Amino acid sequence: MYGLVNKAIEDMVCSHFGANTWKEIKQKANLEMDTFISMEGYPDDVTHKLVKAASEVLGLSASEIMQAFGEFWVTYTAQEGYGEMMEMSGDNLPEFLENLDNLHARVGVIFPQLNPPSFDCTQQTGEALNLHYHSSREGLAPMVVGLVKGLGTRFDTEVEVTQTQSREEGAEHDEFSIKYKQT
Amino acid sequence: MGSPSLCLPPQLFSNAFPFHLVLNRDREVLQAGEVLRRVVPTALVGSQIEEHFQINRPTIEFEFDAIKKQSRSLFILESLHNGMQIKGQMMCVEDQDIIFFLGSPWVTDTASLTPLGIKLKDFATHDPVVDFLFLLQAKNVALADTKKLTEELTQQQAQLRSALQIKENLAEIAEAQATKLKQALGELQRTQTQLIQTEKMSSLGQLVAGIAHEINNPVNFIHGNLKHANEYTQDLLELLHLYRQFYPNPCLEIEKHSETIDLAFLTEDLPKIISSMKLGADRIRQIVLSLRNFSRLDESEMKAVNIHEGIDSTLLILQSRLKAKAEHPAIEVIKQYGDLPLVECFAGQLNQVFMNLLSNAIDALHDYNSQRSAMETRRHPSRITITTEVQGINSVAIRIADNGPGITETVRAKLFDPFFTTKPVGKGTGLGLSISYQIIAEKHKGTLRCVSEPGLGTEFWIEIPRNQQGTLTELAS
Repeated sequence: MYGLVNKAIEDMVCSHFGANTWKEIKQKANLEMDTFISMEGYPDDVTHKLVKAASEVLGLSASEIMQAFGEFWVTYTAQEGYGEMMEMSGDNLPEFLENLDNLHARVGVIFPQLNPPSFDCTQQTGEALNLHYHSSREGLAPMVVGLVKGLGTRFDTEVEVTQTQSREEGAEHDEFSIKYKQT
Repeated sequence: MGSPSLCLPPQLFSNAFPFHLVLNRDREVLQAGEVLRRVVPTALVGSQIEEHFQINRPTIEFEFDAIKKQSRSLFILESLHNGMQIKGQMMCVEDQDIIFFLGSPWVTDTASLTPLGIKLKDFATHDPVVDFLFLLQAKNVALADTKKLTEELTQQQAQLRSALQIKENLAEIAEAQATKLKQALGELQRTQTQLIQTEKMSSLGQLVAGIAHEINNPVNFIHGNLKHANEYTQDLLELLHLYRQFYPNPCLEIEKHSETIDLAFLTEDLPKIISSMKLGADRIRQIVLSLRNFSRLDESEMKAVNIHEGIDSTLLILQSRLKAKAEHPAIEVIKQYGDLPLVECFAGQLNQVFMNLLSNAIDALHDYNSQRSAMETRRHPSRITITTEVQGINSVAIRIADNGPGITETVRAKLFDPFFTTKPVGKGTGLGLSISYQIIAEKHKGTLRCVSEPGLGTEFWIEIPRNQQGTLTELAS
């Protein structure tokens, strides 16, 4: 996972709970590195350790943290200089979700080690769609829920996300049913 | 494989090249990509190309044949409306006599797109410019990271430097404090030594002064009355002589008593006895005087004194130790007194120094003799030489030398250290020389040093200023 992800976790914790809490989490995670370099690839284990430690320190479940992180990720990447790229991906929620795979494909081309996930949308209607999420990583499905919710906020769209199938429960990939309504 | 025979329908071509242009020989724009049409403020199709663009590269004008010739060149067109640069190539379609320009805007950061009225999604999906911008963005983020890390590193280095500085300062402070502590300890030790010695000397001085005072009065009775006793005795003997002259034959009882008391011897011996008593009384008076001189309890201030008197009184007190005894032979004292003026000093303290140096010399000589054969001792008798002389304008030197065994270099280095002694346990305190050094160096601003070599005896040099006030003034100036 790229350092940007770990940095985003750090930023989220610091902005919500303060730098001391982050220090505590980092200490608990028992990491060797002190700071993260955005464009450097880190083992996924680092991110997992951070999420686990944050879950212990903050008293939240890992899934709650990942969901919050998904929401945060939308605003974080826009702030960190990827705003134009987000903009390029769509002017509304369904268009953006449709382009989500494109965005990740581009990222995957540029950063070959990143191994980004892939998405695809089916059964699209005016107010609902099914989002299919394929990833070689585990435990990130809650992040996708947060991500969609964050995008809802970005496009002023009411959104309801339900996971309809889960890889953890034996499915081939995770699938989400998304209902949305532009406000 | 045959040559390509398929081509995109015009609409798809336009999607694939949203920034393309088609010109005829008259430089009229026949067709333009959708995005390009949007961002050029006036109608592009049907107008002259040079109304909207200039060629930055290669350096040619918009001229059909010139452009045609440069079909392998990289073209950079610049919009005359907003400065937008479009990078691409010119392709001539010979049979239609038209030129296609295929390219896309050349930007190096996403922020510069907005002023041009372009968004990333205006680029064709295949256009690598978008990926290039992604990459640049990533590079910028990496640079920002590097900058932040460098700043952190610089800050940490500064902190480290300052911590090191603090550590160094602390070490210096600790060292300085250790030195101070060592000095203070030395000072304390010296003060302690001085206190002990002062206390000792003060008790001894009081004792000596007390005894001297108590003996002085009765001795004065004896000394004073001896004169009268002598006169009365002379008178009585005279009278006896007259009696014998005028009564040559006394009665038997007188004759008998005279014989009993051995009158002839008595008359002869009595004046001798009195004379001997006078001598003894004189000696006692002299000793008392020396004791008082030595203790000098009344003299706590500097006074101009005769140094030789001080040395002599000390020698008198040490008289018994200089004389020959069963266990050791006599020690000869040679005085080579120079013509010294009165010297301003603390006489009692200076006497204490003489006492210490002379006692040490005597101890050393006795010890030396106990190790030598009687013959050797006779051949080289023990001797203490006391030399005094004026040194320069304002100094006097007193040298006390013995012809004893001498002192080794190692011992000499520690000679004036407090509590250093070579004497057996219980005999020496190790304070004598250190006290002496303090008295000479600190109280009298003088010097005390030792010249000695094994086998060549030992000599102590005392040099003190004749006039302490003068020295103080000199020191002050």
